Amino acid sequence: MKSPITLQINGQDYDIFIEGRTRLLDAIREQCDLTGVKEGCSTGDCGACTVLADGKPIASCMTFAMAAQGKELMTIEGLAQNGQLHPLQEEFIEQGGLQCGICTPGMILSAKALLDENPNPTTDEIRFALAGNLCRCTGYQKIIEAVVAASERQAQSV
Amino acid sequence: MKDFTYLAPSSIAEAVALLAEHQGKTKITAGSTDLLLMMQDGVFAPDYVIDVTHIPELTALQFDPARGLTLGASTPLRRIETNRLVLEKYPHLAKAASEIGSVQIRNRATPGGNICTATPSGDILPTLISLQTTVRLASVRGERSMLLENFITGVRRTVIASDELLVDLQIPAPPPFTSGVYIKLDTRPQMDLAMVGVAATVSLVPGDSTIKNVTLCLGAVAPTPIRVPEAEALLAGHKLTDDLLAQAGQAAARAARPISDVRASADYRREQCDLMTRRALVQAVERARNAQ
Amino acid sequence: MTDTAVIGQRVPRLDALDKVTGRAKYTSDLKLSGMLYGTFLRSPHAHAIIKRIDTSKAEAVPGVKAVLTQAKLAGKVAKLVDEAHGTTMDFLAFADTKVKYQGEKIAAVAAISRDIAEEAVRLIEVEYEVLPALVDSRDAVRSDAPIIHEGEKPVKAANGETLRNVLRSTDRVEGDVAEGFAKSDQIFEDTYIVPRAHQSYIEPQVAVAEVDPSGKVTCWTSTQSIFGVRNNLSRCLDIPPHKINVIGMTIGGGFGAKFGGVVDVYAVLLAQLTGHPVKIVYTREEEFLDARPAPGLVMTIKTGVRKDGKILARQAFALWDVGVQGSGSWATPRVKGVYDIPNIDVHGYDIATNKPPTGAYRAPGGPQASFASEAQLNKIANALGIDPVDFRLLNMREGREVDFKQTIRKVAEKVDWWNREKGPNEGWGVAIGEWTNGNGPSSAVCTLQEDGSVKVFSGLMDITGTDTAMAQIAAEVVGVSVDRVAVTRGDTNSAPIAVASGGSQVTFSMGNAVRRAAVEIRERVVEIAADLLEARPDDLDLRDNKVSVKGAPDRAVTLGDVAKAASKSKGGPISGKGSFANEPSATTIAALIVKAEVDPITGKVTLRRIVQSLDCGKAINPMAVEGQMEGGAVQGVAWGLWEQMAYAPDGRMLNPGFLDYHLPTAADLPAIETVLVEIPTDNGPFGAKGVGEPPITPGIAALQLAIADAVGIDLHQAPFTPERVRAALREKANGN
Repeated sequence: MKSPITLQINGQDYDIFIEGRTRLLDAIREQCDLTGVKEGCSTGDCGACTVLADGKPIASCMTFAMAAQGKELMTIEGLAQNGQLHPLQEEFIEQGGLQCGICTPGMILSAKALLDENPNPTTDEIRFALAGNLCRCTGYQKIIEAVVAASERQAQSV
Repeated sequence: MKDFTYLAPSSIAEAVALLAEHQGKTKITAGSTDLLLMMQDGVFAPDYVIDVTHIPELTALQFDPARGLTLGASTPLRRIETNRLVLEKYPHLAKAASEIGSVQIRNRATPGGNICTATPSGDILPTLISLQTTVRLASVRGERSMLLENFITGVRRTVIASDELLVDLQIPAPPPFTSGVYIKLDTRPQMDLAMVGVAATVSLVPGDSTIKNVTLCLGAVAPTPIRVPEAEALLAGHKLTDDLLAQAGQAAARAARPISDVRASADYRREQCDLMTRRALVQAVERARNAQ
Repeated sequence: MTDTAVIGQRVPRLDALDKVTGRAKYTSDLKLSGMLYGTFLRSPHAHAIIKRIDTSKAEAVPGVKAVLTQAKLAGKVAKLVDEAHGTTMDFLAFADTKVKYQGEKIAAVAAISRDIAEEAVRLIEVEYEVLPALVDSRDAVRSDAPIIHEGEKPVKAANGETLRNVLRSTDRVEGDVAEGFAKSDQIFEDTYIVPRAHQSYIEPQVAVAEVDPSGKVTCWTSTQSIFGVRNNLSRCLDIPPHKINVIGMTIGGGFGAKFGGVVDVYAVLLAQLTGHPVKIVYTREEEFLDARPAPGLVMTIKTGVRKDGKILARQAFALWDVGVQGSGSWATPRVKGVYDIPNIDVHGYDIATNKPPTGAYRAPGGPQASFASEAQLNKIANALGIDPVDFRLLNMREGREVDFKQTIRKVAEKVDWWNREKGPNEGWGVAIGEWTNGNGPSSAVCTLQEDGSVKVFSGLMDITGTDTAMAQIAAEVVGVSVDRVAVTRGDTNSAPIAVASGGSQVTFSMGNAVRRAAVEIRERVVEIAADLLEARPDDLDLRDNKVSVKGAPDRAVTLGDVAKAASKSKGGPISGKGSFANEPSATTIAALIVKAEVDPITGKVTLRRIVQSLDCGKAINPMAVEGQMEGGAVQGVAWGLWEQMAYAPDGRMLNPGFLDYHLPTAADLPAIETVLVEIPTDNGPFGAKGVGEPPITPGIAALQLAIADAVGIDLHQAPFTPERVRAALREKANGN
């Protein structure tokens, strides 16, 4: 049975009709048309579906949409502010931290949550924080470099 | 997945009333990291799913020097893993929590879920048992508490009744010179299930390295996490020696009833029960020595 | 080499902005009005006779628009082409009387939602009579083995045995191995085993198809070759190619597995049947059960050497576990590799087993064959007391446009190999892998626009950053900055033919086509600018978006001026087309050094360093080349350490998900260091060689040696799980 709920995504309210079983991933992609969030495994093992809930990364494929009511959600579409890319986005571009790009939205959001919590992480801390985001193309090397560069860039701009 | 009605009570009273009203047709969820997948696979097809994350008692994380740690059943594992008090008083619990899935999963997954799902490889179970954790259950019929060790009865089986709610966990405050270790034997640091898990909580005689008592619990090598009373008994009152370590390790290997699966063979698991028990005991004693 | 302005620059990918903002559109992001969702009923058994299929209950579910089985297709065959191997595999679209692997498609359902389609699938009744399954190629070749494909004929193998269930074989004989062995001081014989591995692109196989009332097909999909998909659809469904338009969406990884036939055929069939657009997206479990993973290998290899280290003869006997269809045997001769071995006797057999069909995975067959080849060379070097790098230097062949020795020396120098240090339980390993990039028909069109910018148009699928390389090539030739080049991908209706994005052939083939198209532009630009500047064509310089007279930089016109003048000229607006068919390239190698630490108590291996060199001919874009090396090196090492598709004796897969099929995570890996070597090849654009495949090939063998060096065990079966390492250590302790 469908019921009306409101999801708050990227600072905007989305009034949608969903079933109890609707996953947050499907609600965001299918109902809110925010397709930057990706589905790679549907079992919480790949991280492509990562979104931020109250600033923390979660697997939207393992979350019921109903449970996301009242939380501030962020998808990759909400990361750039007023047309200005986030330093992570800029550095993923500059450092070549992406190839096919399917893991990129989730990867960047996980990295954002890390930098918000720990602005100057070591590479080991970065690797640990990103362990839930699989990338098959890059071997992670340039991803780590991009996160390091973004953290340095943020430190300079403060 | 079959559709269901989603309910989100904001108090224990409301939750247990719903459980009583829809008895047998409900599943409780917090992070849903296990439940959603099992429902996707058709293991469960409840009519009602009750989200208990809006009940204040269930997200408690409170330390009291007398009572110890009160941990709400729905406290996200990530919060446990990063909590300063937990890191200081129960380093192995923080470690065990950090071993589950990824950050994304631990921001949603909870001890209540790990306990009620009761898979043999549930990472925080051996540590909680080694800490003599008590669980508190509530229902319209009243409350009851029991040792976690007695709560889990088999693979994915517990004593919880269909109208009961797991409210919180009570973990005793560690006496001086008490600490512990959780060793997860897996193939990689994150995103893996344990082949063997060993948790040891050790109390030393103050100012001495004699073991006052030790609680040893193995994970992933039997239908439930298992204590190793034989090893615990032979270590109590003694300093660690190579001989005692070997005996304790062998006792652990004898206690194990592992299976062979895609992750490891039974033989390997049994051998590693022995070796990881030794490793855990050495590390736990070292930690306890430094724990005031 | 003359100095270049844009070639060799670290230019960010053209599609990077779309990808970091979530704007890039992948196939599963598409939503068409009236679109249905397709899903499959699959066999739970690896080998069984189908006694009965009843779809009536599924058809009765409200919202279900079609239920398709082989019976309803009237025997139509899904013929799938494997572009990378150039082989064709014949399948029935669905199993009708017999299933030959777990996960084989029995029926497809199209419904108005995925939930409804899945519910309907559960209601299809199938009665099976289960047969014993063949899961190991060594069992499948035995004379008493059950026969998987009817009409199979036993094959007399080179070793005198009669083999059953052989699909195909590859033989290569040079010189006289018997004589080579007779002259050898020592002969080594070993058997190496590599499991099946899955490419594990993070975006599962996906297609959306629509059929108009006249029967014209449109298919949006994630593929390495839109033309490959179109041709395959045409073959499978008997529709002429000009009535099929394939639109390539952003592709979320392929690594050899996305050449069509897995979902696209079925999306079209369901769209034909229902008159609605149909979307099919694989689940991760379906990926493992029924896609096109890499074949497993059991290879016995025998090598004769002289005391001084010279290899005299090599013999190999390889059984490739290809599943019900597929090929790996063609890679068996890679055991000769880039070595100068006078006597070779190599025989590879593709063996049918009750497992899903296999396909290409980055350097198809290379990592498996290289493991056997290189691991044994390391063992021989050790036995002869020769350093493994020196041993290779001693045996590598020389040639035009190649310098294998320089490539391995460079990586060795990077880690100070000959003075390497290690702590307790640490070890170093080295190996190489070779590849000669493929090449294939490619055309591109370039246009100079009136603002002086350049458009490049082709049918190329960009995965690795090849669009960016094409932009750099065009920019370099025409003399514009790379931000003034736009690269557009056409569909099969609009674009000229493009080579498949696989086999390390894109930069080489399409790069040449784009270069030729750009040269045509350049020639017209020079002709017109010479008029405008009243200068001799030879005296003109094209750079920085303008044309100037050499030695007189003030005498210049912008490319925009030239374009405008051209529009009024007799020859009209400036555009160029370039085509390329096939010209040979030169072989390249990747050389890999791995440092690892072994916990001797648990057997767990931790990677400490991964260092790789690669001869890329000329790095059009070093950042992209490094990206290929880093990703490829990790895939190779991961196959040695974690990845394996595991099967129960009854043929059921034991780990069809990322929980137990372990892809490396960021936390599992050290930094990856890369060294670019540039030995140009004459036919490559600016000397470039293909770089996609080589980096994966040496991983398993390099890791194997690192473990051997750390704790003194000689492992023959990948992956090197803690349990296998521990077992070998115990055996060693017991003196076996």
